[in-house]
Amino acid sequence: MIVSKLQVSGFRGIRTCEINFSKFNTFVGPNNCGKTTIAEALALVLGRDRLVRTLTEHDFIGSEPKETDRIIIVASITGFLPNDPARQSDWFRWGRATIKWTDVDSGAVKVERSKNTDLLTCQIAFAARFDLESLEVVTARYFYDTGVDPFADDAAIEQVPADLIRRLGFFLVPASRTWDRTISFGSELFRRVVSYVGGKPAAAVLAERARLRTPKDPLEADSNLRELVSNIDTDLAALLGQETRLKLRLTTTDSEGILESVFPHFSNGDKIPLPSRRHGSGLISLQTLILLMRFGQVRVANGEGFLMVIEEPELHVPPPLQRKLLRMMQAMATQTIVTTHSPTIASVPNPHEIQFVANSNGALVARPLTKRPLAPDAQNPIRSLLLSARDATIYALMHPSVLVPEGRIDAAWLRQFVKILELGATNSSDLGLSFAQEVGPIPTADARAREVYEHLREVHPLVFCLFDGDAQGDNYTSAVCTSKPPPHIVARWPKGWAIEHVVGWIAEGDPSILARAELAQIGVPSKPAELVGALQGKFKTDEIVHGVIADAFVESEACRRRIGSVMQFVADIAMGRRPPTQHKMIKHANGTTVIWTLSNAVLGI
Amino acid sequence: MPFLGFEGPAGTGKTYRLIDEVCSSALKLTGSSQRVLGLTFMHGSRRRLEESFANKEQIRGRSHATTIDSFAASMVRRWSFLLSFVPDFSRFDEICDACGMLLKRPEVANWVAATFPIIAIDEAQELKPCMLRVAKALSASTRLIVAADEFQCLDEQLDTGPFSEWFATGNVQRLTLVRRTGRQGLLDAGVALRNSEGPKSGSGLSIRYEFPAQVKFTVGHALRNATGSRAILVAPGSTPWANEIIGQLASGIRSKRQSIPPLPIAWDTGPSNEISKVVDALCSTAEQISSSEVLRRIGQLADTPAWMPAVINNIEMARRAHGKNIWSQSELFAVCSKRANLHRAYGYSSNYGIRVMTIQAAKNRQFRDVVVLWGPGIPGSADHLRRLLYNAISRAEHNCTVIVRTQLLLGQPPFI
Repeated sequence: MIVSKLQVSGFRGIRTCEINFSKFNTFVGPNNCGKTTIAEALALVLGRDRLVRTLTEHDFIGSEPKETDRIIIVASITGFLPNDPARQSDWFRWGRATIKWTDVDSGAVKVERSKNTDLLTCQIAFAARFDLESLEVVTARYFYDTGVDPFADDAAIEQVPADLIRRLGFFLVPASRTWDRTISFGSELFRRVVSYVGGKPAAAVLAERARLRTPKDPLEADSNLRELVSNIDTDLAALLGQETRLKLRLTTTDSEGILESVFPHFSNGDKIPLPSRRHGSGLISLQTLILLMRFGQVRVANGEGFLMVIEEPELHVPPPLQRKLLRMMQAMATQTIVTTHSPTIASVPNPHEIQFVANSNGALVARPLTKRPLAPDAQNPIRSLLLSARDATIYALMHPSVLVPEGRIDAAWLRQFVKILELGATNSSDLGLSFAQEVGPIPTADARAREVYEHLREVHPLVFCLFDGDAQGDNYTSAVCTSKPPPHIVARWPKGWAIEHVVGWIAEGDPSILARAELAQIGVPSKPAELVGALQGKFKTDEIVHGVIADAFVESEACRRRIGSVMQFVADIAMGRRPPTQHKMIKHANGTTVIWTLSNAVLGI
Repeated sequence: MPFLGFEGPAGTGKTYRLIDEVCSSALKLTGSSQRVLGLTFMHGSRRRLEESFANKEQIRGRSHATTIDSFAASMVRRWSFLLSFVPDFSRFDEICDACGMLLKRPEVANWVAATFPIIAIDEAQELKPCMLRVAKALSASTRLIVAADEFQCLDEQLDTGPFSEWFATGNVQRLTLVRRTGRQGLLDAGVALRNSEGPKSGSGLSIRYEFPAQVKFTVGHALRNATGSRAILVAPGSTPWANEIIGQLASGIRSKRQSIPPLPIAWDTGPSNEISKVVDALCSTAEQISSSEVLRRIGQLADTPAWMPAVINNIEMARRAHGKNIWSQSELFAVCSKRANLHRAYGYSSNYGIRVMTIQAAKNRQFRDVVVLWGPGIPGSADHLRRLLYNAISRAEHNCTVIVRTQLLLGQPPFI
C-alpha cells in the first residue's frame, strides 16, 4: 500500500494543499516552503502515536487558533491487492473505511468506480482543534468519508484502529536526528526492528542480569570504598535494627534496566570498540539508515508495507554515498518520500518523481518536474534540462525566482558574476549579492527559451526571462509574450547588447584589468571594444577563458560595482522591488508582461 | 438465499426463536471482526434484544443491537457522498429511504455484510415502506432472520400489504403454541380477538366494569400483592383517567372497609413534559442568552432531570469546540430533547415498582400481572381496537385485569 494523495489544511504554514504521490517521491523547494510540514503531516495521519510530538497552537496556521479553527490532514491510501473492497474487509466494512476510488491518470479521488484501472482507496484523516480552556490540542484520527467536522456533536466518526496503522509501516526520519541513541533499546525504531525480526535477546539479557547482580569484583568491595560502605551499613543497622547492606550495581539489575543501558559501540579491526557518539556523524547516520532499511526489507519480504519518509537524506552522508543510499532506499521500501536540498540527491529519481514545492501565502503546491515519465521523443531542450543539466536545473528551482536566459552561455556568465561578487565581497557594499539567494539561472539549451519557459512555469510559480537587446532578443520576447500565460517579467540587455556586451561594459569600468599578464597569455584582447568581439567569436563557449576573465574582475572594485549593479537590477525586478529609475520599463500589449531594459548609465557606476 | 422468518401470535416465542437462530447461525461467523446485528423499531425493544444477545454465550461480545432509524442514520452519515441530496437527519423516513437507496448498491450492502453477515429484525410487522426497502436490500447480502406478527401492527395508518407480500417470499416458520402463559383464559382471549370475536373472562383474565369509586381499589388489589413484574397499560385517550388513579394509588387509599398503602408507581413515558418545563425555566421565546447565562440558570433550577449533565456538557462543548456562545429557546429545546431521548434510550432505567405505559409502548414486553385501563372514544376500526386489546392482554404471563370506564363499552368491539 502507498499514500497516493495528501490533503492538508490549517497546519503550520499550509492553509491548503493537495499533493499526489507515486511510489518514489522527492520534494525539493526553497527553505521554509513547507517540505518538513508535508513530512510531519504524513506522520500525524499515518504515524504511530509515539512518533508524533505534542501539538501546540503554533501548529495551527497563524499560531492563534480560534474555537472553530481546525487542522485537517487527509491521506488517501491505494495499492490494495486485490483491488476489490469485498476482499479487503479489514479496511472496508461497517466500522471501517467507506469505499472510494482513485483515477490513476489524474490522481483524483472519486466516489464511484468508472474505469477498470481505478484504484481502491481508503481515506484516513487526522483532525485537531485547540481548546482555549484546557490549553490543549484535541485530536482525532478517523476514516474520512466527507468533510464533516469530526468534533461536531453528531459527527459519528470511526477511529482508525492501531493495527491498520501498523500495517502501513510508516516511518519518518526527521531532519533533526538523534542518531547516537538509535541502535539501542531506548529507541523506538530499534525496539520495533528487534521485536519484528525475532524478539528480544532474552537468554543473553538474563545471563547479563545474573552477572550484574553478583559481580565478581563488586564496587562496594573496592579498598577505596570498603570503609565508607561499611560505615553506612553500620548506620543503617543501628537505625533500622536489622542488617541492611549497600551494594553498588551498574544497572537496576532487571531486564528493562539492562536493555535501557545498552549503548551502541562500533569497532574498527581489533581496536577497542568506541561508543557511537565518539564516531563521526557520518558513520552513525549510515549505520542507522542501514538498520532502518534492514527493517523495511524484512517487512517488504513478508508482504507488509514499509512507507519511509526521510528528510534530507544527505545529512551527514558524504556526497559520493548519497546517490547510492537513495537507490538502496528506493529498492527497499514500498514507498519512499524524500525531502532534500541536495541537487545530488535530486538527480537520482526520474523527473516525474521530483516535485517542486512552492508556497504562496499558505497555498502550498507541489508540481512534478514532468507530469509523466519523460518520453524518449521528448523535445531536446526539456531532455537536456531534466537529464543532463538536472543538477543545475534543480539548483535554480530552489530559488524564489527562476531566470530563463537565452542560452547556456548566459547562465554560465551569470554564475561567474555571482562567484565574482561573493569572492570580492567587502563589508562596504552588498550591491547585487542578493541575486545568489533570490534568482536561479537555468542553463537553457539550444536557445529554446520559449519551450523552457513554458515547461518551467508549470513547476515554479515565479519564472521570468532575460533576453538580449538585439533582433533575436526581440523575437524571443514576442515568443514568450504570446505564450499563455506569458511571464510577468522579461528583462532585456540594452539595445544591441548580448551577455558579451555586458562583460565588455564591465571591463570598461576598469580597462587596466585587461592588461593583466594572465589574460594576455591566453590571448584575451587588451581593449574592451575588442573583448566583446572575441567573446562572441573564438571564446564564445570557452569557459576556461571566461573563468580567467572572471578571476581578474574579482580584483577590481570598479568591475565588481558594475557587476553588482547588473545583478541588483535583475534581482530587484525578479523580486518585485523597484530598481533605480534609469532602467526602462514598458508594459507589453498582452497586458501581463512588464519588460525591463537594463540601463548602462546608472549613476556612480 | 431467502430470509428466515418466524410468525405467530404473541407469546409463541418468536423473539426466542429469532435469537436461537441467530446463535446457531453465529457459529459460522469467521474472523474476529464479524458481528450479529439486531434491528428493532423502538429503543425499548433494542435494549431488550441487546440483553438477550448478551445472555447468549455464542454471541456475547459479538453482537450489536440498534433501532432501524439509528442504523439508517449511521449508514447515511458515512455514505452521504453517494447521495445526490443533502440528507436532513431530523426526517427519519427520508433517512431510511436514503439508506435503502444506498443498500441497493452491492458494494454498500457487502460493506455492511462484511461486518454483519447475520442480521435479525424483530417486530418486523411495523416495517414502513422506507424501512422495508432497507430489509429487502439487507436480505440480498446477509443471513436475514425476521420475526413478525401482522396482527400486532398497531399503526392503523400503515398499509401492511407490502410487508405481508414480502414476508411471504421468505422461508417462514409459523409458531402456534403460546408459551408465555398457560392460563387458559388468556390463551382463549388471544384466539378470540385474532378471530374477530369478543374475549371472555376466564382463568387469568378478568374483563369488567367498576363503579368509578371502586376502580382504584380494584387496580390496587390486582397489583399490590403481585410477586413479579407489574404494569398498568393505558388505552389511547385514557391518560387523564389513568393519572387520576395513579395519583391516588401513589399516595395510598383508604375507605371504611378497605385500605391500600402507597404503591411505587410511575409513568414509563417519554420526558416531553419535563423538557418543556426545563426549557421554559431557562429561557423565554424572545430571549438570546449566552452560554454562561444558560449554565448559571441551570445551576439555579431546583430539581434537574438526570439528563441535565449531558446538556451542560453539550453547551460547554459547543462553546469550546465550535465557538457557539449564544442560545435561543428553540436551540436549547433541541439540545434538551436530544439529550433526554438519548438518556431514555441508553441510560439506566429501573424495573422497580409498577410501570405505567400506553398499550403501544408495551409492545414486545411482558409482565407477570397487567391491568388494562380502557376508556371510551378510542379512534379506529373494530379491527384496530381488537389489535390494541390483543396487544395489551397478551403482555400478561399470569393475570390480566381489563377495566372499562363505562358499562356501555362491554357491548362494543373489541369486547364483542
